[in-house]
Amino acid sequence: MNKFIWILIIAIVVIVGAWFAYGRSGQPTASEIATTTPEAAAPVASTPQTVTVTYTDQGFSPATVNVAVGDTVRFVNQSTGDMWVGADEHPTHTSYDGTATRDHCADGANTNGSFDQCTRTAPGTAWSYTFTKAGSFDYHNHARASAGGTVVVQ
Amino acid sequence: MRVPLHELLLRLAVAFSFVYPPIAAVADPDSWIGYFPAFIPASIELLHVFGALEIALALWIVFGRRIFIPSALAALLLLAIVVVNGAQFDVLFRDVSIALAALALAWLHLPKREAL
Repeated sequence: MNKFIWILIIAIVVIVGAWFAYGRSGQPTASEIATTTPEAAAPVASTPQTVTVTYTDQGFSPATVNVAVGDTVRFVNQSTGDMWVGADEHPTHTSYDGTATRDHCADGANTNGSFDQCTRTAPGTAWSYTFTKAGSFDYHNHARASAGGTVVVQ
Repeated sequence: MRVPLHELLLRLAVAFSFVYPPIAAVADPDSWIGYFPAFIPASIELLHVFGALEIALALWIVFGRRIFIPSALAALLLLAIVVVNGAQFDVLFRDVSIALAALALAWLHLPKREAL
């Protein structure tokens, strides 16, 4: 009995440790948060900007981007696998506007403007999305749910 | 084999979490393939092979006699899924509960206990 409990405790400690070390790698650290605020200092409305996020086998970089309403984020797949950018949570992608993938995706195309690529694309491709409302939007790669990031729209 | 009701419920609880994904993956593989860790070259075929193993594991847990091994494997598998997909913990936190249920089954069927 005692042996089993000790094994259980050790296993839990190892798992929690591994989770913090590896599993939460999709979360940005302070140094990873980009300072890409192209319109932060603009006192009047300026032209929309495009911010690029690169997806590699290590995940999305920068993990967090700050943009303004109307700006476009371009996700470039430089990994060795497929990319399907979609709002959290996996796999329903409901956090952006409350609609699920089955509601806003049809035949690989987005039908209501939700933050969802709706199809997987091969390495070397890119996908752009223009944010039309403010908020902090977590996203992930639907083809590899452990990789994710955040777009902060102000 | 006569299994007490409380253990049967425990077995079904753990087994269900291994039966549903492979069935759902037939209709919507994209929603499940993303849980593979990055170091595994995931494919639809691999997903279905893994699904077949999950169903075998579930059947072993429900109908098997000495189920320490499948129960322990189930717990490890669930916890591994949580660890490699930590960013999706808001969804996967339930797997921790199911893994603990699987550990309870493993404990009930610990080889030394069954030999007594």
